[in-house]
Amino acid sequence: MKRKINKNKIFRKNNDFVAREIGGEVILMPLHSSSSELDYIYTLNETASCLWSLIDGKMTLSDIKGRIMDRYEVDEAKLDKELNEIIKDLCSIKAFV
Amino acid sequence: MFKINVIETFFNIADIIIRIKSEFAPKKETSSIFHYSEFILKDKPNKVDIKITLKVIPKYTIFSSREVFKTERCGHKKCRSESDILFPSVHLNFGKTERRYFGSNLDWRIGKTGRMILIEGNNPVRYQLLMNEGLTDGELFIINADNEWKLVEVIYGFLRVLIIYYMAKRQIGILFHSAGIKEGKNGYLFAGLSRAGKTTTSRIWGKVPGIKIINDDRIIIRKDSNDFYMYPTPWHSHYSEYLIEGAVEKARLSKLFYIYHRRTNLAERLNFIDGFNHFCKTLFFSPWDKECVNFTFGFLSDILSQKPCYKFGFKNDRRIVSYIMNLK
Repeated sequence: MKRKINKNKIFRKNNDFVAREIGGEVILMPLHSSSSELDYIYTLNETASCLWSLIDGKMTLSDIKGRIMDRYEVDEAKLDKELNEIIKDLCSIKAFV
Repeated sequence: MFKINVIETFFNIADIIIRIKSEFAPKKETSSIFHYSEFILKDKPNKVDIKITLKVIPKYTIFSSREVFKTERCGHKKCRSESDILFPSVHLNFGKTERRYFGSNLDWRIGKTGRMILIEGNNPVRYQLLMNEGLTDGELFIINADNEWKLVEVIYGFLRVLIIYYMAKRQIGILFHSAGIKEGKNGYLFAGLSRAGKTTTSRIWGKVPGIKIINDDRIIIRKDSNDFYMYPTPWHSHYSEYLIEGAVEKARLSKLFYIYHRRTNLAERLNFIDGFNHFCKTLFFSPWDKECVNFTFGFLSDILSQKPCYKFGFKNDRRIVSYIMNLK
């Protein structure tokens, strides 16, 4: 069974990432300390870009979800699933601290 | 009183003037595989951007520094980088203390010691470069018990890293992993990963009368009067017989191509986002510095918002020339 992320969790961005909005999408690049890590630049999709722009180290995941639902007409169950996957992906690349 | 002679050597890379001041004149490189003479100025220039004093010393100084980035060499044949091919492995004769200080397989690394930036490495020569934060003034130590230094050691050693970092810090330009071609008033950038066909493309275009190859592997792009220009660099591939020394000047950038090998020629226009995602892979970043990475992203998006870009699959023959020249 897939583990759900606590909706009251507050996420903070890792300062060792460079984030830049390019043509409506957010590009993420981790700072590197070695050439062996120099492999990835990440392009976030629309939902992930929106999530990234809303993460401020204060709002809970539930608050952020509410803001996204205010902005877009989305099915709540679908959004839950998508956010869950995005956060897992961003955690796996250490985009949050 | 003794008067010590000081020799000044000036390099011009993409209009960035570097002065190396030393007690000894550099030893001439006799091998013909290096094309760099056009980057050495014959006369003293009016302005100097980066001033470096060079000293030849017998062994490394062990600096107390905080390492921010390092590159390591992989011994595996397939993983050997282009620089490994250009410069056969230097036989390292580290003392025990130096070996501990550097660790194993170090190519080069960058660190901070107090307010200074330290770049040190061992390819193609053992060196340490201590620069101020603005990268405008510094001291270079070439580690050589024979008390001599060569131009190629500077150009193909730390200079590439220094120029990439300097351009990003001063927000003046970026380095592409690409070939650059000048055709009349047009400049075409053919960017791609290793083995994508940059040298092949250069070789084909090099046979066309009136075409100039700016470089087959590394191109600097700078902005001037609201337009973008491709500049030659001394960092070329191994087989570069089509590079004519002294005959290449900057060219206005007209189009960018992300190249790959294909059975037939096909150029697909990329939208801004796809263009960004493709060309991003062909850029050299200073990945230890947030502001520099941010600048590089911004500069690339600035280029792509003004210049058409394509994904270009090409067949290895001279029909690519007319294909590109007839591209609307």
